[in-house]
Amino acid sequence: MPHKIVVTLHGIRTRGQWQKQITPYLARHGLIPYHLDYGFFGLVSFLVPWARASRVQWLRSELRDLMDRTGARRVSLIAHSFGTWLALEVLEAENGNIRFDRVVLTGSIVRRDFPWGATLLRKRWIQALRNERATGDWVVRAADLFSRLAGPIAARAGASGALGFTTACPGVHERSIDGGHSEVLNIANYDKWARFIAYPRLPDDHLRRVRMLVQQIRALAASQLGVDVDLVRANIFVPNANALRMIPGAWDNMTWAPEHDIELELDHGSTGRAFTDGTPFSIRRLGATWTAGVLPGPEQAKLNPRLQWVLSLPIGRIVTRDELTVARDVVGVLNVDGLDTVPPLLQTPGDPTLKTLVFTLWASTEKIRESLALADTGEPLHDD
Amino acid sequence: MTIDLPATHPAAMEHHEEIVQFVFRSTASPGLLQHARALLGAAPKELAESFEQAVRSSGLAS
Repeated sequence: MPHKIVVTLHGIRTRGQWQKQITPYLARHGLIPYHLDYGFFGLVSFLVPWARASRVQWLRSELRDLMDRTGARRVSLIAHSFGTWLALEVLEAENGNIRFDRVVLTGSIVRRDFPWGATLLRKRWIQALRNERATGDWVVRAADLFSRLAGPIAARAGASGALGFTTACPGVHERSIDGGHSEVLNIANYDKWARFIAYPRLPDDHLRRVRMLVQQIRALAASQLGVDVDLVRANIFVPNANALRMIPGAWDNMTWAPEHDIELELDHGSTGRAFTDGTPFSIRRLGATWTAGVLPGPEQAKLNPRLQWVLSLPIGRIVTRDELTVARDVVGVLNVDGLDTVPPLLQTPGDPTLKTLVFTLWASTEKIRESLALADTGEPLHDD
Repeated sequence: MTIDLPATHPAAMEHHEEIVQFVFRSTASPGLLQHARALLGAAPKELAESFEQAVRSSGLAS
Protein backbone atom coordinates (compact mmCIF):
# COMPACT_ATOMS: atom_id res chain seq x y z
CA MET A 1 0.00 0.00 0.00
CA PRO A 2 1.72 3.23 -1.13
CA HIS A 3 2.05 6.16 1.22
CA LYS A 4 -0.78 8.65 0.91
CA ILE A 5 -0.22 12.29 -0.02
CA VAL A 6 -2.17 14.80 2.07
CA VAL A 7 -2.76 18.23 0.58
CA THR A 8 -3.48 20.95 3.13
CA LEU A 9 -5.24 24.15 2.19
CA HIS A 10 -5.73 27.26 4.33
CA GLY A 11 -8.56 29.79 4.44
CA ILE A 12 -8.87 33.53 3.92
CA ARG A 13 -7.03 36.22 5.85
CA THR A 14 -4.32 33.78 6.91
CA ARG A 15 -1.28 31.91 5.62
CA GLY A 16 -2.18 28.73 7.49
CA GLN A 17 0.08 28.39 10.51
CA TRP A 18 -1.78 25.17 11.34
CA GLN A 19 -0.46 23.57 8.14
CA LYS A 20 3.06 23.64 9.56
CA GLN A 21 1.92 22.38 12.97
CA ILE A 22 0.09 19.35 11.60
CA THR A 23 3.11 17.95 9.70
CA PRO A 24 4.49 15.68 12.48
CA TYR A 25 1.05 14.21 13.13
CA LEU A 26 0.70 13.24 9.48
CA ALA A 27 4.23 11.85 9.37
CA ARG A 28 3.56 9.72 12.44
CA HIS A 29 0.92 7.82 10.48
CA GLY A 30 3.03 7.41 7.36
CA LEU A 31 1.35 10.25 5.45
CA ILE A 32 3.15 12.69 3.14
CA PRO A 33 2.12 16.32 3.73
CA TYR A 34 1.91 18.74 0.80
CA HIS A 35 1.07 22.22 2.02
CA LEU A 36 -0.47 24.58 -0.53
CA ASP A 37 -0.38 28.34 -0.06
CA TYR A 38 -2.28 30.75 -2.30
CA GLY A 39 -1.13 33.79 -0.36
CA PHE A 40 -3.09 36.17 1.82
CA PHE A 41 -6.64 36.28 0.43
CA GLY A 42 -8.71 39.07 1.96
CA LEU A 43 -12.41 39.26 2.66
CA VAL A 44 -12.94 41.76 -0.18
CA SER A 45 -11.34 39.31 -2.63
CA PHE A 46 -13.72 36.61 -1.45
CA LEU A 47 -16.63 38.82 -2.49
CA VAL A 48 -15.32 39.21 -6.05
CA PRO A 49 -16.28 36.36 -8.42
CA TRP A 50 -13.23 36.55 -10.70
CA ALA A 51 -10.88 36.56 -7.70
CA ARG A 52 -12.49 33.38 -6.42
CA ALA A 53 -12.43 31.84 -9.89
CA SER A 54 -8.73 32.56 -10.28
CA ARG A 55 -8.02 30.65 -7.06
CA VAL A 56 -10.11 27.71 -8.30
CA GLN A 57 -8.02 27.61 -11.49
CA TRP A 58 -4.83 27.84 -9.43
CA LEU A 59 -5.86 24.86 -7.30
CA ARG A 60 -6.83 22.80 -10.35
CA SER A 61 -3.41 23.44 -11.81
CA GLU A 62 -1.60 22.67 -8.54
CA LEU A 63 -3.43 19.37 -8.04
CA ARG A 64 -2.93 18.21 -11.62
CA ASP A 65 0.75 19.04 -11.39
CA LEU A 66 1.09 17.20 -8.07
CA MET A 67 -0.66 14.10 -9.37
CA ASP A 68 1.36 14.12 -12.61
CA ARG A 69 4.65 14.37 -10.78
CA THR A 70 3.89 11.77 -8.11
CA GLY A 71 1.77 9.36 -10.14
CA ALA A 72 -0.86 9.45 -7.40
CA ARG A 73 -4.36 8.64 -8.65
CA ARG A 74 -5.94 10.32 -5.62
CA VAL A 75 -4.70 12.63 -2.91
CA SER A 76 -6.21 13.22 0.52
CA LEU A 77 -7.06 16.70 1.75
CA ILE A 78 -7.34 18.75 4.91
CA ALA A 79 -8.88 22.15 4.25
CA HIS A 80 -10.05 25.07 6.35
CA SER A 81 -12.71 27.69 5.60
CA PHE A 82 -12.30 29.11 2.05
CA GLY A 83 -10.01 26.17 1.35
CA THR A 84 -12.98 23.80 1.78
CA TRP A 85 -14.97 25.79 -0.76
CA LEU A 86 -12.07 25.83 -3.23
CA ALA A 87 -11.51 22.09 -2.96
CA LEU A 88 -15.10 21.14 -3.68
CA GLU A 89 -15.42 23.71 -6.49
CA VAL A 90 -12.43 21.99 -8.09
CA LEU A 91 -13.97 18.58 -7.52
CA GLU A 92 -17.17 19.56 -9.34
CA ALA A 93 -15.38 21.48 -12.09
CA GLU A 94 -13.10 18.53 -12.85
CA ASN A 95 -16.07 16.17 -13.16
CA GLY A 96 -14.14 13.11 -12.01
CA ASN A 97 -10.75 13.95 -13.57
CA ILE A 98 -9.42 14.84 -10.13
CA ARG A 99 -10.53 12.63 -7.26
CA PHE A 100 -9.77 12.80 -3.58
CA ASP A 101 -9.08 9.90 -1.27
CA ARG A 102 -10.12 10.92 2.27
CA VAL A 103 -11.06 14.50 3.07
CA VAL A 104 -11.20 16.51 6.30
CA LEU A 105 -13.19 19.75 6.17
CA THR A 106 -12.72 22.21 9.02
CA GLY A 107 -14.72 25.43 9.36
CA SER A 108 -16.40 24.46 6.10
CA ILE A 109 -18.27 27.08 4.06
CA VAL A 110 -19.42 24.47 1.54
CA ARG A 111 -23.18 24.61 0.93
CA ARG A 112 -25.12 22.35 3.26
CA ASP A 113 -26.90 20.48 0.47
CA PHE A 114 -23.68 19.44 -1.30
CA PRO A 115 -24.61 16.20 -3.16
CA TRP A 116 -22.63 13.69 -1.10
CA GLY A 117 -24.77 10.75 -2.21
CA ALA A 118 -23.68 11.25 -5.82
CA THR A 119 -20.17 12.54 -5.14
CA LEU A 120 -19.12 10.06 -2.52
CA LEU A 121 -21.22 6.95 -2.95
CA ARG A 122 -22.03 6.75 -6.64
CA LYS A 123 -19.24 8.56 -8.47
CA ARG A 124 -16.58 7.87 -5.81
CA TRP A 125 -14.96 11.27 -6.37
CA ILE A 126 -14.18 11.13 -2.64
CA GLN A 127 -13.69 7.97 -0.57
CA ALA A 128 -14.72 9.36 2.83
CA LEU A 129 -15.32 12.70 4.53
CA ARG A 130 -14.84 13.95 8.08
CA ASN A 131 -16.61 17.30 8.63
CA GLU A 132 -15.12 18.98 11.68
CA ARG A 133 -17.50 21.75 12.70
CA ALA A 134 -17.91 24.28 15.51
CA THR A 135 -21.36 25.21 16.68
CA GLY A 136 -20.37 28.82 17.45
CA ASP A 137 -18.70 29.51 14.10
CA TRP A 138 -20.08 32.92 12.98
CA VAL A 139 -17.76 33.10 9.96
CA VAL A 140 -19.42 30.20 8.17
CA ARG A 141 -22.84 31.60 9.04
CA ALA A 142 -21.78 34.94 7.51
CA ALA A 143 -20.64 33.11 4.37
CA ASP A 144 -24.04 31.45 4.24
CA LEU A 145 -25.78 34.83 4.60
CA PHE A 146 -23.62 36.33 1.86
CA SER A 147 -24.49 33.43 -0.40
CA ARG A 148 -28.20 34.08 0.12
CA LEU A 149 -28.15 37.87 -0.23
CA ALA A 150 -25.52 38.65 -2.82
CA GLY A 151 -27.37 37.32 -5.86
CA PRO A 152 -25.28 36.66 -8.98
CA ILE A 153 -21.93 37.55 -7.38
CA ALA A 154 -22.44 35.12 -4.51
CA ALA A 155 -20.33 32.06 -3.96
CA ARG A 156 -22.34 28.87 -3.56
CA ALA A 157 -21.52 28.79 0.12
CA GLY A 158 -23.22 27.54 3.27
CA ALA A 159 -22.89 26.97 6.99
CA SER A 160 -21.88 23.30 6.89
CA GLY A 161 -18.99 24.17 9.21
CA ALA A 162 -21.47 25.05 11.95
CA LEU A 163 -24.62 23.10 11.19
CA GLY A 164 -23.37 20.11 9.21
CA PHE A 165 -24.58 18.76 5.88
CA THR A 166 -28.23 18.00 5.14
CA THR A 167 -27.15 15.36 2.63
CA ALA A 168 -25.16 13.06 4.89
CA CYS A 169 -24.74 9.46 3.75
CA PRO A 170 -22.49 6.51 4.67
CA GLY A 171 -18.91 7.71 4.45
CA VAL A 172 -19.73 11.20 5.73
CA HIS A 173 -18.64 11.54 9.35
CA GLU A 174 -19.75 14.64 11.26
CA ARG A 175 -17.84 15.83 14.33
CA SER A 176 -18.84 18.86 16.39
CA ILE A 177 -17.22 21.02 19.08
CA ASP A 178 -18.30 24.11 21.00
CA GLY A 179 -16.30 27.05 19.74
CA GLY A 180 -15.59 29.29 16.80
CA HIS A 181 -14.03 29.34 13.36
CA SER A 182 -10.42 28.98 14.45
CA GLU A 183 -11.01 26.74 17.45
CA VAL A 184 -11.96 23.93 15.10
CA LEU A 185 -8.28 23.89 14.16
CA ASN A 186 -7.49 22.46 17.58
CA ILE A 187 -4.14 20.69 17.80
CA ALA A 188 -5.87 17.99 19.85
CA ASN A 189 -7.67 16.93 16.67
CA TYR A 190 -4.64 16.62 14.42
CA ASP A 191 -3.88 13.02 15.37
CA LYS A 192 -7.50 12.00 14.71
CA TRP A 193 -7.42 13.60 11.27
CA ALA A 194 -4.20 11.78 10.45
CA ARG A 195 -5.71 8.48 11.64
CA PHE A 196 -8.83 9.11 9.55
CA ILE A 197 -6.80 9.74 6.41
CA ALA A 198 -4.43 6.82 7.00
CA TYR A 199 -7.32 4.31 7.14
CA PRO A 200 -7.43 1.42 6.20
CA ARG A 201 -3.92 1.39 7.61
CA LEU A 202 -4.65 0.92 11.32
CA PRO A 203 -2.99 2.91 14.11
CA ASP A 204 -1.22 0.91 16.82
CA ASP A 205 -4.08 0.80 19.35
CA HIS A 206 -6.58 -0.65 16.89
CA LEU A 207 -4.04 -2.88 15.18
CA ARG A 208 -2.99 -4.50 18.46
CA ARG A 209 -6.56 -5.42 19.33
CA VAL A 210 -7.54 -6.51 15.83
CA ARG A 211 -4.44 -8.65 15.41
CA MET A 212 -4.99 -10.33 18.78
CA LEU A 213 -8.55 -11.29 17.84
CA VAL A 214 -7.47 -12.47 14.40
CA GLN A 215 -4.86 -14.72 16.01
CA GLN A 216 -7.42 -16.13 18.43
CA ILE A 217 -9.98 -16.79 15.70
CA ARG A 218 -7.35 -18.52 13.56
CA ALA A 219 -6.30 -20.74 16.49
CA LEU A 220 -9.90 -21.65 17.33
CA ALA A 221 -10.67 -22.46 13.70
CA ALA A 222 -7.60 -24.67 13.35
CA SER A 223 -8.33 -26.63 16.53
CA GLN A 224 -12.01 -27.15 15.69
CA LEU A 225 -11.31 -28.09 12.08
CA GLY A 226 -8.69 -30.56 13.28
CA VAL A 227 -5.86 -29.21 11.13
CA ASP A 228 -2.29 -28.16 11.84
CA VAL A 229 -2.40 -24.52 12.92
CA ASP A 230 0.63 -23.79 10.73
CA LEU A 231 -1.52 -24.57 7.69
CA VAL A 232 -4.23 -22.08 8.69
CA ARG A 233 -3.99 -18.33 8.08
CA ALA A 234 -6.22 -15.32 8.68
CA ASN A 235 -6.53 -11.87 7.16
CA ILE A 236 -8.95 -8.98 6.80
CA PHE A 237 -10.13 -7.40 3.55
CA VAL A 238 -11.78 -3.95 3.49
CA PRO A 239 -13.09 -1.83 0.61
CA ASN A 240 -10.47 0.55 -0.69
CA ALA A 241 -10.74 2.36 -4.04
CA ASN A 242 -13.40 0.11 -5.61
CA ALA A 243 -11.75 -3.15 -4.57
CA LEU A 244 -11.27 -5.25 -1.46
CA ARG A 245 -7.72 -5.11 -0.13
CA MET A 246 -5.99 -6.53 2.94
CA ILE A 247 -5.38 -4.30 5.95
CA PRO A 248 -1.59 -4.27 6.35
CA GLY A 249 -0.56 -6.11 9.50
CA ALA A 250 -4.07 -7.18 10.51
CA TRP A 251 -3.29 -10.75 9.61
CA ASP A 252 -1.80 -13.90 11.07
CA ASN A 253 0.52 -16.42 9.41
CA MET A 254 0.33 -14.59 6.06
CA THR A 255 3.92 -15.31 5.08
CA TRP A 256 3.43 -15.33 1.28
CA ALA A 257 4.23 -11.66 0.66
CA PRO A 258 2.67 -11.25 -2.83
CA GLU A 259 -0.74 -11.96 -1.30
CA HIS A 260 -0.56 -8.77 0.75
CA ASP A 261 -1.29 -6.75 -2.40
CA ILE A 262 -4.17 -8.85 -3.75
CA GLU A 263 -7.17 -6.87 -4.99
CA LEU A 264 -10.55 -8.61 -5.01
CA GLU A 265 -13.64 -7.44 -6.85
CA LEU A 266 -16.54 -6.59 -4.59
CA ASP A 267 -18.70 -9.57 -5.58
CA HIS A 268 -16.08 -12.14 -6.56
CA GLY A 269 -15.35 -15.36 -4.70
CA SER A 270 -16.28 -16.06 -1.13
CA THR A 271 -14.72 -12.80 0.12
CA GLY A 272 -16.63 -10.61 -2.31
CA ARG A 273 -19.89 -12.49 -1.78
CA ALA A 274 -19.58 -12.30 2.00
CA PHE A 275 -18.98 -8.56 1.71
CA THR A 276 -21.98 -7.88 -0.52
CA ASP A 277 -24.43 -10.42 0.94
CA GLY A 278 -23.56 -10.05 4.65
CA THR A 279 -23.51 -13.81 5.28
CA PRO A 280 -20.57 -16.21 5.68
CA PHE A 281 -19.33 -18.11 2.64
CA SER A 282 -16.81 -20.87 2.19
CA ILE A 283 -15.00 -21.90 -0.93
CA ARG A 284 -12.82 -24.90 -1.61
CA ARG A 285 -10.76 -25.66 -4.63
CA LEU A 286 -11.63 -28.75 -6.61
CA GLY A 287 -9.42 -28.24 -9.67
CA ALA A 288 -5.76 -27.43 -10.14
CA THR A 289 -6.34 -23.67 -10.12
CA TRP A 290 -8.93 -21.10 -9.15
CA THR A 291 -11.23 -19.84 -11.90
CA ALA A 292 -11.20 -16.26 -13.18
CA GLY A 293 -14.70 -15.78 -11.79
CA VAL A 294 -13.22 -16.21 -8.35
CA LEU A 295 -9.87 -14.55 -8.93
CA PRO A 296 -8.76 -12.90 -12.20
CA GLY A 297 -5.38 -13.93 -13.62
CA PRO A 298 -3.15 -11.09 -12.41
CA GLU A 299 -4.46 -11.45 -8.87
CA GLN A 300 -4.27 -15.25 -9.02
CA ALA A 301 -0.57 -14.93 -9.74
CA LYS A 302 -0.11 -13.30 -6.32
CA LEU A 303 -1.88 -16.11 -4.49
CA ASN A 304 -0.07 -18.78 -2.51
CA PRO A 305 -0.43 -21.80 -4.84
CA ARG A 306 -0.95 -24.06 -1.81
CA LEU A 307 -4.23 -22.33 -0.88
CA GLN A 308 -7.07 -24.88 -0.84
CA TRP A 309 -9.96 -23.32 1.05
CA VAL A 310 -11.28 -20.04 2.46
CA LEU A 311 -13.94 -19.31 5.05
CA SER A 312 -15.15 -15.71 4.63
CA LEU A 313 -16.88 -14.00 7.55
CA PRO A 314 -18.50 -10.59 6.92
CA ILE A 315 -17.55 -8.03 9.57
CA GLY A 316 -20.66 -6.00 10.29
CA ARG A 317 -23.46 -5.44 12.78
CA ILE A 318 -25.05 -8.87 13.21
CA VAL A 319 -28.81 -8.43 13.21
CA THR A 320 -31.89 -10.58 12.79
CA ARG A 321 -34.31 -9.61 10.03
CA ASP A 322 -37.20 -11.72 8.81
CA GLU A 323 -35.87 -14.63 10.87
CA LEU A 324 -32.51 -14.49 9.12
CA THR A 325 -29.30 -13.53 10.89
CA VAL A 326 -27.16 -11.32 8.69
CA ALA A 327 -24.44 -8.66 8.93
CA ARG A 328 -25.44 -5.05 8.15
CA ASP A 329 -23.14 -2.07 7.50
CA VAL A 330 -20.41 -4.50 6.54
CA VAL A 331 -16.97 -2.87 6.94
CA GLY A 332 -14.84 -5.78 5.77
CA VAL A 333 -14.39 -9.55 5.63
CA LEU A 334 -12.32 -11.77 7.90
CA ASN A 335 -10.91 -14.67 5.93
CA VAL A 336 -9.72 -17.82 7.63
CA ASP A 337 -8.07 -20.01 5.01
CA GLY A 338 -5.88 -23.05 4.68
CA LEU A 339 -3.06 -24.63 2.73
CA ASP A 340 -2.45 -28.07 1.22
CA THR A 341 -5.63 -29.93 2.27
CA VAL A 342 -9.32 -29.24 2.83
CA PRO A 343 -10.43 -30.27 6.36
CA PRO A 344 -13.09 -33.03 6.18
CA LEU A 345 -15.57 -30.87 8.14
CA LEU A 346 -15.50 -28.20 5.41
CA GLN A 347 -16.46 -30.85 2.87
CA THR A 348 -19.78 -31.44 4.61
CA PRO A 349 -21.51 -28.03 4.61
CA GLY A 350 -24.68 -29.32 6.27
CA ASP A 351 -22.89 -30.71 9.32
CA PRO A 352 -24.26 -29.07 12.52
CA THR A 353 -20.76 -28.97 13.99
CA LEU A 354 -19.59 -26.86 11.06
CA LYS A 355 -22.65 -24.61 11.38
CA THR A 356 -21.86 -23.95 15.02
CA LEU A 357 -18.20 -23.28 14.30
CA VAL A 358 -18.94 -20.84 11.49
CA PHE A 359 -21.43 -18.93 13.62
CA THR A 360 -19.05 -18.83 16.58
CA LEU A 361 -16.17 -17.48 14.51
CA TRP A 362 -18.48 -15.01 12.76
CA ALA A 363 -19.99 -13.54 15.93
CA SER A 364 -16.53 -13.36 17.50
CA THR A 365 -15.57 -10.69 14.94
CA GLU A 366 -17.72 -8.10 16.76
CA LYS A 367 -14.82 -6.31 18.47
CA ILE A 368 -12.95 -6.26 15.18
CA ARG A 369 -15.98 -4.52 13.67
CA GLU A 370 -15.97 -2.04 16.52
CA SER A 371 -12.30 -1.20 15.95
CA LEU A 372 -12.63 -0.87 12.17
CA ALA A 373 -15.68 1.38 12.52
CA LEU A 374 -13.84 3.64 14.96
CA ALA A 375 -10.65 3.68 12.90
CA ASP A 376 -12.66 4.61 9.79
CA THR A 377 -13.72 7.84 11.52
CA GLY A 378 -10.26 8.55 12.99
CA GLU A 379 -11.30 7.89 16.58
CA PRO A 380 -8.99 6.01 18.96
CA LEU A 381 -9.84 2.85 20.82
CA HIS A 382 -11.99 3.52 23.87
CA ASP A 383 -11.17 1.77 27.10
CA ASP A 384 -13.47 -1.16 27.77
CA MET B 1 -30.69 -22.42 12.23
CA THR B 2 -30.16 -24.16 8.94
CA ILE B 3 -27.73 -24.02 6.13
CA ASP B 4 -29.13 -23.86 2.66
CA LEU B 5 -27.88 -26.36 0.16
CA PRO B 6 -24.58 -25.30 -1.35
CA ALA B 7 -25.20 -22.32 -3.61
CA THR B 8 -24.27 -23.36 -7.10
CA HIS B 9 -21.78 -20.90 -8.43
CA PRO B 10 -20.99 -21.14 -12.16
CA ALA B 11 -17.48 -22.14 -11.23
CA ALA B 12 -18.77 -25.08 -9.25
CA MET B 13 -20.34 -26.46 -12.38
CA GLU B 14 -16.91 -26.57 -13.93
CA HIS B 15 -15.67 -28.49 -10.88
CA HIS B 16 -12.94 -25.97 -10.20
CA GLU B 17 -14.26 -24.96 -6.83
CA GLU B 18 -17.31 -25.21 -4.62
CA ILE B 19 -18.74 -22.13 -2.96
CA VAL B 20 -21.20 -22.43 -0.08
CA GLN B 21 -23.36 -19.78 1.52
CA PHE B 22 -24.16 -20.21 5.21
CA VAL B 23 -27.70 -19.07 5.94
CA PHE B 24 -28.60 -18.80 9.63
CA ARG B 25 -32.22 -18.81 10.72
CA SER B 26 -32.93 -17.18 14.06
CA THR B 27 -35.58 -19.74 14.99
CA ALA B 28 -32.84 -22.17 15.92
CA SER B 29 -30.70 -19.64 17.78
CA PRO B 30 -31.12 -20.96 21.37
CA GLY B 31 -29.49 -24.29 20.54
CA LEU B 32 -26.89 -22.59 18.39
CA LEU B 33 -25.89 -20.19 21.17
CA GLN B 34 -25.60 -23.02 23.67
CA HIS B 35 -23.27 -24.97 21.39
CA ALA B 36 -21.27 -21.87 20.47
CA ARG B 37 -20.69 -20.98 24.13
CA ALA B 38 -19.53 -24.50 24.84
CA LEU B 39 -17.12 -24.23 21.94
CA LEU B 40 -15.78 -20.95 23.33
CA GLY B 41 -15.35 -22.43 26.81
CA ALA B 42 -11.61 -22.89 26.41
CA ALA B 43 -11.08 -19.85 24.18
CA PRO B 44 -9.37 -16.64 25.37
CA LYS B 45 -11.73 -14.34 27.25
CA GLU B 46 -11.37 -11.53 24.67
CA LEU B 47 -12.86 -13.80 22.04
CA ALA B 48 -15.72 -14.87 24.27
CA GLU B 49 -16.41 -11.21 25.15
CA SER B 50 -16.47 -10.27 21.49
CA PHE B 51 -18.94 -13.09 20.82
CA GLU B 52 -21.21 -12.10 23.71
CA GLN B 53 -21.17 -8.46 22.58
CA ALA B 54 -22.42 -9.53 19.15
CA VAL B 55 -25.10 -11.75 20.66
CA ARG B 56 -26.36 -8.94 22.89
CA SER B 57 -26.52 -6.35 20.10
CA SER B 58 -28.06 -8.74 17.59
CA GLY B 59 -31.01 -9.56 19.83
CA LEU B 60 -30.35 -13.28 19.47
CA ALA B 61 -30.07 -13.68 23.23
CA SER B 62 -33.57 -12.37 23.93
